[in-house]
Amino acid sequence: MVNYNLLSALLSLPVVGIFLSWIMPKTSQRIYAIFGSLVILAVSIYIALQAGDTPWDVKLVWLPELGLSLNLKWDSVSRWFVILNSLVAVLAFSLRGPWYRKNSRLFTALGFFLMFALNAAFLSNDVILFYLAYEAVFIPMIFMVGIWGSNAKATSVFRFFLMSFFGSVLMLVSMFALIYLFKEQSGQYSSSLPDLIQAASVKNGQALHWCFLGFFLAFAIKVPVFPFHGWLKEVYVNAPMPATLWMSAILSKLGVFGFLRFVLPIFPGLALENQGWILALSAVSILYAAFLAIRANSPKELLAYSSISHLGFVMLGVFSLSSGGASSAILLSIGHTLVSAMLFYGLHLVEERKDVSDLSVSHGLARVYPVLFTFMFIAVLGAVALPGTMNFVGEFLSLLHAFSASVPSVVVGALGVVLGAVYMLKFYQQLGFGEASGDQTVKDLGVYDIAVLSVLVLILIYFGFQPMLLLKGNG
Amino acid sequence: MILSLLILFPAVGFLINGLLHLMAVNSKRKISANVSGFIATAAMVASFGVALYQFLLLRNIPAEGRIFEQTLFNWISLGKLQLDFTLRLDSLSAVFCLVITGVGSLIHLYSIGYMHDDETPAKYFSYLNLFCFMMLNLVLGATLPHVFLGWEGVGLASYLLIGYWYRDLEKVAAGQKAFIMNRIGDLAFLLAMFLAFRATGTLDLLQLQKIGLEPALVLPFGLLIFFACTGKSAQIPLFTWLPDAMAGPTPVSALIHAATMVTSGIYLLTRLSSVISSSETVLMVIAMTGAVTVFLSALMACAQTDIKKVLAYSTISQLGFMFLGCGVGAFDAGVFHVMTHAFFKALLFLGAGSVIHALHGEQDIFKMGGLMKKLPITSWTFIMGWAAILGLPPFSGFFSKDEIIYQSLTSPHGSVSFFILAVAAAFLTAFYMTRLLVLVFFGPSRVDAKVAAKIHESPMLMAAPLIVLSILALVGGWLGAPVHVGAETTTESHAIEYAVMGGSVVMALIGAFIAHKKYGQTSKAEKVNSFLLNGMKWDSFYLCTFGTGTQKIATGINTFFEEMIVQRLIRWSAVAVDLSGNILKIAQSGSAQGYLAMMAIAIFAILAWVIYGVGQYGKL
Repeated sequence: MVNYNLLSALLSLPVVGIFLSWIMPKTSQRIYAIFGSLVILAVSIYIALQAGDTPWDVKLVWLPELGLSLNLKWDSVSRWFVILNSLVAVLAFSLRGPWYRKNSRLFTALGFFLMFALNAAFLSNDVILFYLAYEAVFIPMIFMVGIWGSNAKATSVFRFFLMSFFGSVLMLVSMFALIYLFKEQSGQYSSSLPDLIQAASVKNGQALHWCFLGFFLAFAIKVPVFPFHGWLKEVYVNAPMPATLWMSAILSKLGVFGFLRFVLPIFPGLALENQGWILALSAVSILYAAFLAIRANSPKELLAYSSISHLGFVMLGVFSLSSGGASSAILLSIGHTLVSAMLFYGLHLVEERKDVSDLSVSHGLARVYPVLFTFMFIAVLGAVALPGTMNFVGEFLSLLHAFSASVPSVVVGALGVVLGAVYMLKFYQQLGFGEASGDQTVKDLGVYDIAVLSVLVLILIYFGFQPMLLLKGNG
Repeated sequence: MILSLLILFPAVGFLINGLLHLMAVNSKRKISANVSGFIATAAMVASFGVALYQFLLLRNIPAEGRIFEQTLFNWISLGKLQLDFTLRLDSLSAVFCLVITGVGSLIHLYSIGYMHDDETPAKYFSYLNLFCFMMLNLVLGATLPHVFLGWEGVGLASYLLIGYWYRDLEKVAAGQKAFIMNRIGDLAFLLAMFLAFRATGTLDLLQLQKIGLEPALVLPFGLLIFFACTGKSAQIPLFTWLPDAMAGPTPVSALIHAATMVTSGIYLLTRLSSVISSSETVLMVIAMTGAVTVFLSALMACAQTDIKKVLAYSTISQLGFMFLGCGVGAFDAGVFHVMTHAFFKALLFLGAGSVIHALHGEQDIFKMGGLMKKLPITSWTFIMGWAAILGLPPFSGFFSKDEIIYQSLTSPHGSVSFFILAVAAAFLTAFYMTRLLVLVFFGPSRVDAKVAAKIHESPMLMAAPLIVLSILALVGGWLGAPVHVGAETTTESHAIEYAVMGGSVVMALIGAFIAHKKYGQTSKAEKVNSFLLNGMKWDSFYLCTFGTGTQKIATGINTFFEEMIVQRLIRWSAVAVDLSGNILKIAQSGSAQGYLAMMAIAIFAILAWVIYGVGQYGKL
């Protein structure tokens, strides 16, 4: 009962946050939003401490005729994504910019709505609830790009969203197919995940194959994995920085979560059958995106592609299809969330100080803003997965586990380690090194930003040496 | 157990200086080189004290049990993989620890003088401490991933210090090149770890030595490890970053790019010698690479005009000697040479730094000359270093180099061709070092008049390390190789040994004599062979193959795949969705609103779901 109250608090608190944002004064929205997301973060961490290693499973039957129920699950797969969701929200809300000057209440409300939808998606143990939450994530994103985005051609950006919508429609069809399958076997409707896992384990054959592909496509677009990444660049580049931060840091994990929560448990046999080409695709994804990052000439574009490349390593861990591989993928996901949040956060701070949209010239800002660039450098080290950071442990373990499944994929994917150094150094050096031009009147970091980034750095390095604390309770 | 103090001191030094630096720049102040240098040097001296103490303790233990271990915490445990963060000291790592902390302390001390007028000395010293911390992890790590932590960590410190003066983009590029070429080697290291773990289920070095690899896997494992070592230790084919790395401050070149980091390849090969030496092919590849590197880089050193570049190519060449030693199975001879080389090469680099300091940044040896009178301490200590690298008895280089040359001929893995290349390299070494010596310190002065007036001997802080190192360069050979690693040592008749010894000394003397004849009275710049000057164009070759290759692939992928296929597909799918949307009349005024409406319905559905669910719960 306590479990249920706590878990539903993770859904109801953001909703309260949405409504409160219309009451709070326009000018103090930023402080309100940061405070509100910190509260939700505190609740998530409290649950993590309460739950410890035991998974929480709450089920509340609603309309048994239709198989609808509120089915939530807190376990080693979902917990970090839920916690990170609030952490990322704190960071995204912390960014100053036009979103706090124009329609600031709407921005805060959208942010809380996003937290709500993501928490619902990560906590759901029910395919229909997951689907609704998964789609709902788009709404705040579209509004943010449309209202505060850098590009006037907002409709063209919508189109890129549509591609990911396209994939999720196929997933919905697959979900209905599975629900129907369960109805055939047991005579009643259910959309709860354990029921569907059971249904799929009995059934075999062509239909299941299509279901697998439906799910795979939806999540592969979401991650994204090559060649389904086409939507990403335009959206990242044109979105306002908080939205980009949200997308790279946590929305991309929806795909990873989807694989771990749905695809592998429902289709263990098919995952194994298709393991070879999926691993190969992930390896290609790493290299392909890395090459595009190398030639990218705007920092946002570079980071957008680097995100694809890094998630390729996560995919290698996921589809190593070992319990250790899944754990490593979660570990690397956490690392990637932290590092990409830090990078976009830092990039925003840089952009507040100087226009750095062109990376083909060196801006020489490290001497002007030494503290900011120290943090940026540590984030870059995380991005290249230097030992001592969490990302190293995640990347190393992901590759190690995938190595048992496919040597060629790992050899190809590991080349991304070298290319990653190439583009991340380019990113840092073009921003930081060389001679600074123009007048630099804006100051280096303030106390708040130093505090936020210091906390992130400490987490990044602490768990680089104590990564197992994050995996407690994982089989 | 006080082993952890060994790495703790530099770590604390790094943190203190790093934070001091950040606090200072934030308030636009400056930490003086004396303060930050004292902190960093004290950390290193303390660490050296610990190393020495542990080394002496280790010697009191019977040879079989000479291992100290301290587990700090559990690092990774996932399934079969159990990795503790363990420091392990044995005779091999003890030698490296002594060199790192000992030579490191001296170079820290020297840096206080050298970096006196630098803008951000606290940053410099924090990087230097960071380097030592990582290097100690490299040699003390009990598992391969722990060694890898140090391995990449020293690469990071090296990157930071090469590009230390980052307003100069050329120096930045040099640092980037070093980092990326090292990463290529690191990739091989990673793959080697995966291979070893898959085959044996462990990554612990002792376990790995015990279990060993099945014969079929020794070859790929050995070659991967060896390739990793060519990156860090600047051997063919990954050597071209080292000459560029001279862009860093000279004490950095002495510490990282001569005495310690670049020898980590020899450390790793020796550490894994019992695993890899069962493959003849692996050993032969190592020896061949070493022998060819020794010779070619000595040749390239003969054409350099920059005092630091001569020493850089010389370092590559000397590292080649060590690889040759490892390759013919004489791993302990290689390690012995690591030690003596650390003494005399650090000495030569610091001497060069002293010269550069005195000449206010001049590095062209044809703009030097006749400095003997003005820089007596620097000159005399440099001469000691010169004698050591030439291998003149009784200087330290004589013992270690002679041992390798001897082994290259007589070891079961040796051959006449290795021997010939090694002796030729010894001859060339004498030639380019004597050329350097006479051009800088003897003959007529070619120093610019303006600079000449201000030449002064370096301060005591810089001179003292020179004197200590020159003593070590003299007597270091008598310390002998205090290591006994699993390598065959032949006890043949001494006749061959004396012949080899005498032969190589005579070759060195001839080389020195020729160089002296040729350069003794040089009064103007020499026209050097540009092919050799540019490192036999390896760099331009890499640039136009891998360098532009990467760019071309990137552009190609972008124009032919990304733009033509992926992006086009997106546009089509968007159009298709638009069309279907119109047909279904979901949206009258454009697709975007339609979807927004659909999604708004979705959000209310979820809200209703959750709220209703919560309400139901209340009733129960």
